[in-house]
Formats: sequence, structure tokens, C-alpha cells
Amino acid sequence: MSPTKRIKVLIAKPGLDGHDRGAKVLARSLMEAGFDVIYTGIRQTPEKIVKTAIQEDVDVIGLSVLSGAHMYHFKEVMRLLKKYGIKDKLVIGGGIIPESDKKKLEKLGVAAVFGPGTDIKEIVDFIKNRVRAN
Amino acid sequence: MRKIDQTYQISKLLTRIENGEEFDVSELLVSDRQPFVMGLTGPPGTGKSTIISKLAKRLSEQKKKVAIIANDPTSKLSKGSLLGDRIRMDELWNLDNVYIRSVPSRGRKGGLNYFVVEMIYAFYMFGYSYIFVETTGVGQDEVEIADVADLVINVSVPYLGDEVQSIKAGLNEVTDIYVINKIDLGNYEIYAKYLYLAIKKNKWGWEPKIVGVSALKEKNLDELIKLIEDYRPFYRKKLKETVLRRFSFMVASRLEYIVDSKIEQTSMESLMADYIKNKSLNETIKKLISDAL
Repeated sequence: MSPTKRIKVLIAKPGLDGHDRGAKVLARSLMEAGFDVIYTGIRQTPEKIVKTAIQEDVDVIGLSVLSGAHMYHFKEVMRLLKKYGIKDKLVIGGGIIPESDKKKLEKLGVAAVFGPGTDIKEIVDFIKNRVRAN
Repeated sequence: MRKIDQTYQISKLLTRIENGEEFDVSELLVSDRQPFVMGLTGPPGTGKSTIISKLAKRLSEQKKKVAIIANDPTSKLSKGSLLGDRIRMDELWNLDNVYIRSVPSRGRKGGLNYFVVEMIYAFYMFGYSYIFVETTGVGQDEVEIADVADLVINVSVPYLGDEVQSIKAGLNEVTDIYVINKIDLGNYEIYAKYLYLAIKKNKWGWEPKIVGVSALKEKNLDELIKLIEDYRPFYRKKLKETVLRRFSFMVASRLEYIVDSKIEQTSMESLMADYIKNKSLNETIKKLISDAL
């Protein structure tokens, strides 16, 4: 079995939204793509997500929000990363997020937002390209 | 230094260790001061993570620094891993003196990553003196946890087999405390009776104990904590041997890591061609290993 370094991803659901099917499918799929995936489940606070990302030294933070509260949660995660001086984490998002908000999120530093119907391969390739580039 | 900066520093060190970089523990190994390592093992879904969470919380309340090394399996097919132990430890996230690290097993036998011992000492170096090591979900034969931990806690649930299971070789021979979890879900006393057949005083004079708990409902946890405290004097007696066991685990793991890495980079076709030509597997392996070193 491979002892070599693998890309490490945290998949978390901030807020009270309990729709975790997408996050679970993605966690499993990223594992099948050869990543190490930390899955922390639902009802996470931004503070908890950022602390987990630091303790686990992940390369990628993947946030899933389907409740409409994405602007608040993403903004908080980005603010905390900045506060703690963490620059080595790629933040991506998924869920039900309107096109108009995607641009705002990208301005905040979210690398990409993937909506329903996204091919998982697209996410895998995106992560591989971006993490390798770092 | 801010707490978060120290966390970041430990986190990067653990990553380097996990990726196979050497980490010098020679001085830590020979020191009189050693961490207290509790190893929790047992089949998947029996409640290892939940029990660790409850115990870690208590220790944290006593102002102890607690580290948790939670192993989960690595896929043989993709070599990726899905690490989900943190879900059961949600109550610990905001405790400044608790550090949780999820670790992929990388397919190593025993349900433990190659570099668990180095990780233990990395935590100890930063003042974490209480360390939990959780194996992946395992069965009967995975005794490696006893090479790593001072105390082996074997977690099971009611109705897991009869007395013949208890007298078999393997994990039963190295267990210090049996925890039967989820006692709210069934009669555990019959199962406890079967387990009693496995009980035998070890050479340090400790007689393994059995306790039924419900971790989720926080039932009988005080009893478990008392057993762990009762065990403490025995752990001191065997400390010298424990350190040697940890060292042997380090040696065997590093060797396996070197060999596994080499095998991964080697074309099996050409290796087999080599074997077919010289007809000696020992010769083929000798070449492979000297090449790897």
C-alpha cells in the first residue's frame, strides 16, 4: 500500500442545515479518488471548522451549505483563517448557492463553488490542480 | 506564542512524520518521564471514539493535556481514506488542552499507521502526557496496539460470541481492560461471563478487568475511570518493557515503510522476470532491499 503523501481534504457542513447526502457522497468519492478525507458531519460552526482544519493540517476545506446561510458561514470561515494567519488552505464550497453569490464568495477568497449536477471528476481535477500548484 | 500557532506547529510536524520524514525520538525514549498511552481497540462501531471522547473530556477538566491519535482504514483500491472519528468527539472541539488527529492506517496490519509511536512522542514533546491511540475497527488478531500503549482497552458490545472466542489466542491475551459498551441495548452479563474465561493475571500482577458501560448515556463511566486509575501502578512496573516494545514497533514499521515504498515503485513484471531467471525468491528480495536502502 502506498505510504506516499496524499492530498488531505476536510468536508464539513456549517450551520443548522441537515442535508448531508451531498457532503457524504463527496467525502466517499474523494476517498475513491485517492484523497485523505476528514468528514466532520453536520452542525459545525466556522470556528470549529477552522480549528479542525488546523489540527488536521488539511490542504482543502470543503464546505457544504444548502440552507441559504452560505454568505454568513463562508465569510466567517474566511475571516477566521485570516485572523489565525492561515494561508495554506484552499477553500471550496458546494450546495444551493445562487450565481450572484458565487462571485461575492470568490471575492472573499473562496476558490470555487460547485452546484448541483457537478461532475465529481471536475471537483477532483480542480483540487488536484490547485493543491499541486501550491 | 498564541495557542493556535503552537497547534499549527504540532500539526505540521505530525504531517512530516506521517509522510515518512525521520523524527528523532532517541532522547525521549531513554527519558524517565514517559507519556501515559491508552490504546483503544475492538470491532468497528463498538464505541471506541465515543469512549475516548468521554474520557478525554474528564481528563481535560482535570487540566491535563490530552492528545488523540485516531486511526481509520485506508482504501486498498484508491489508497485514499475516509476519516470519521472526529464526529464522535464533537464535545472536545473547543477544549484548548485537547488535540485530535485523524490518521490513515495506510493498510498497515494492526490497524495502526506506520508512525504512531513517533506521533506519540511528538505530542509528548509538546506537553501532551495523556495520549489515546484508537485503532481502526479490528478483530481478534491485531495485537500491535499492545506494542504501542501502556494500557490496552478492548471495546466490545453485548452478544459478541461465546466462551470459545474468549479462550482463543490474540487480542484477549494482551487486553488490560474489557469494556462492554452499549449495555443499554442488551444483557451484557452473559457476555461478561464468557469474557471471564479469558481473564488471567499477567506477569506484572495485573488481573484484566471487565466493565459494562454506555458511553453515549454516560453510564458506569466512573467505574471505568476507577479501573484505569487502579491500573496506574502496574503500568509503571512494565514501563521499561513498554519503551522497548515501542522501539520495536518503530523499527518494524520503518522497515515495512521502506519495503512497501520500494514495492510500490517497482514494476512487478520485471521483478517476476528476475525471479523466473534466477529461481530464488530470497535472491530477488535481497536485491530489492539493498536497492531500497
